[in-house]
Amino acid sequence: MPVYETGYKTRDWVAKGIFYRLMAFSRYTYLQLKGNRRIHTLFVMSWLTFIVALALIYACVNTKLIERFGIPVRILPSLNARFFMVYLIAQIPFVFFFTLAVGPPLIANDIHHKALPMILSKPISRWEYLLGKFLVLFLLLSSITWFPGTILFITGTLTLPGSSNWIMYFWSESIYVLPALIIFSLVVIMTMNLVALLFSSLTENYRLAGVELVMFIIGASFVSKIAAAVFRSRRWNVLSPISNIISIAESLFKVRNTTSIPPALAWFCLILLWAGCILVLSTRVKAFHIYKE
Amino acid sequence: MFLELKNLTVRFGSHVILDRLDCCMSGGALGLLGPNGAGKSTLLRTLLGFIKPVSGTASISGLDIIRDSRAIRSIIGYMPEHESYIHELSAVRLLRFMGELCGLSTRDAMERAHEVLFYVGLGEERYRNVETFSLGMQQKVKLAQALVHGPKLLILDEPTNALDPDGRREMISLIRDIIKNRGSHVILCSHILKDVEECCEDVLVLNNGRCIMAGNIDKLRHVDERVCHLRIKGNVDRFMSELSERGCVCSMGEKESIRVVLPSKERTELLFELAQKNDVQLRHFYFKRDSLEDLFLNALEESEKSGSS
Repeated sequence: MPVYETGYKTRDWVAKGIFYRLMAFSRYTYLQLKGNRRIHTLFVMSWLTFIVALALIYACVNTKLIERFGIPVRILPSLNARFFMVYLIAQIPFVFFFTLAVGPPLIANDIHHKALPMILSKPISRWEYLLGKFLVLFLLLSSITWFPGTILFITGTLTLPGSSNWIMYFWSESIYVLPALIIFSLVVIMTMNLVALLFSSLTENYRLAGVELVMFIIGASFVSKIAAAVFRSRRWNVLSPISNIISIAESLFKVRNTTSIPPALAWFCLILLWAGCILVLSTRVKAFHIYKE
Repeated sequence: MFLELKNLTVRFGSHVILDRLDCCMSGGALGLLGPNGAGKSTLLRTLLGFIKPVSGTASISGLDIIRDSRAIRSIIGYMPEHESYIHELSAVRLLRFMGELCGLSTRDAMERAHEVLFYVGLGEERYRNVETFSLGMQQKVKLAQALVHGPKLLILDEPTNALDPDGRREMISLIRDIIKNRGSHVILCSHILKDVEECCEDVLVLNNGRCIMAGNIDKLRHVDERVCHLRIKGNVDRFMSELSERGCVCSMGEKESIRVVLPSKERTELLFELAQKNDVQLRHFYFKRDSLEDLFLNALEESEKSGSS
């Protein structure tokens, strides 16, 4: 029956589960991004590093082919934990640009257009709203961090030079890389996502939220570098979320610490940052704000 | 009872916004009236679970507003007062999104979005971005998003705000249709008494957070037997001059009716006697009944008096 022949009427229906409802936020945000060329370009570029990493893995296990082209094999990287860590660290700029493009409007636009009372009058709580918004960036950033990283790891381990006991070798030497890869990706996603949501909730203007996000991430790194130079101590790197993230990466992938931040301190700083973001978000995201005398 | 407020108190800091409200609504349409700052919007927000009461309880369809907040919001459709939409979404997508948030499947939400947009008269405009809509159309979109999941109770906060007379008439006829034919109960919060009078059977008047009048509008209306409206056929001037000679105050009312205020010593039989004497036919005769405006103003006046005393 054509829709114009049906009239509005109340009817009973079975409600879908909460996860389905929360995914609506992601679905509609992606629908809006569908026509955005900058996002498409960024997405393609972020997967170029994956292609390069895949090509390097192929080259590493086909050294004869490389030699045939006259390329010295020694310039190829080793397929170890550092390889995967470097791949993920190379993804951080893309994570940042994605966050910058998608994150700031997430809550700011709803506040600007007074959509919060309308949305929160539906059967979802404030926390579910925040989780729905969190999932928007989480899924997007997952697609350029741990998801391709895991594919790379599996490809890398499956194509390791064959030996009768290669599986034993893999289990004993490399198994920690997979959880490290996933945990590190989650740390990056969590940090960027929460900071983006925080600034998005602090203003009605998403452009201003974007500027605040850049100021925070770039500015904090800049300030930490200046402080480290002035006080001649690399411990000041702790002020930069990116340095903390790298310190955690180095500890997870068991490579030499280059940031001079103890991993425990880096975890503490990031958890403090996440808690602060969640605290502010819980006070900012409300259907109505009550101004007490 | 569909809606029940028991000693409901809401306080922001030391400021009491709703003060021990008691009210029952069996269903149908309830008009929520009151001057600015009376607590109308706070009451609606409390019913929606946005604000927690400090004491007392309220229930909608047997569900407690604090304990069953989510269940309540799944049977409520809320039309907010201010402009409210989602950036860069067309009307149909906005409604589909709202339907999905309520738990409708994508297919059902899409079907309902189309249905409801046709119902509110935006069928031809449904693919347009809501931001490009006029204020009147945005009001209709807000009504449509409140209806998309087929709520049992519709809470409308100032639905005719900033609408031109045509827009207002359309909105009122939609609300009347929802109440009469679509099986939803309605709480209509408005400053415009005529809107409430046209749509609602019951009224709740708030002032300074207190309930100053509640009940069925028809039952609350007071009939004044000393003021009557007549419509006659015959010599109007002669009839009016005779009435004036007998101490009545006469004036021409709406639609060629005569408004007569009888002196305290006379009774209504006088009108029939004079009509017979002057060979005038009485075609209509009715006593003046209080309008909702009279009720509202009287209630406010009494509340102010009791407050000052």
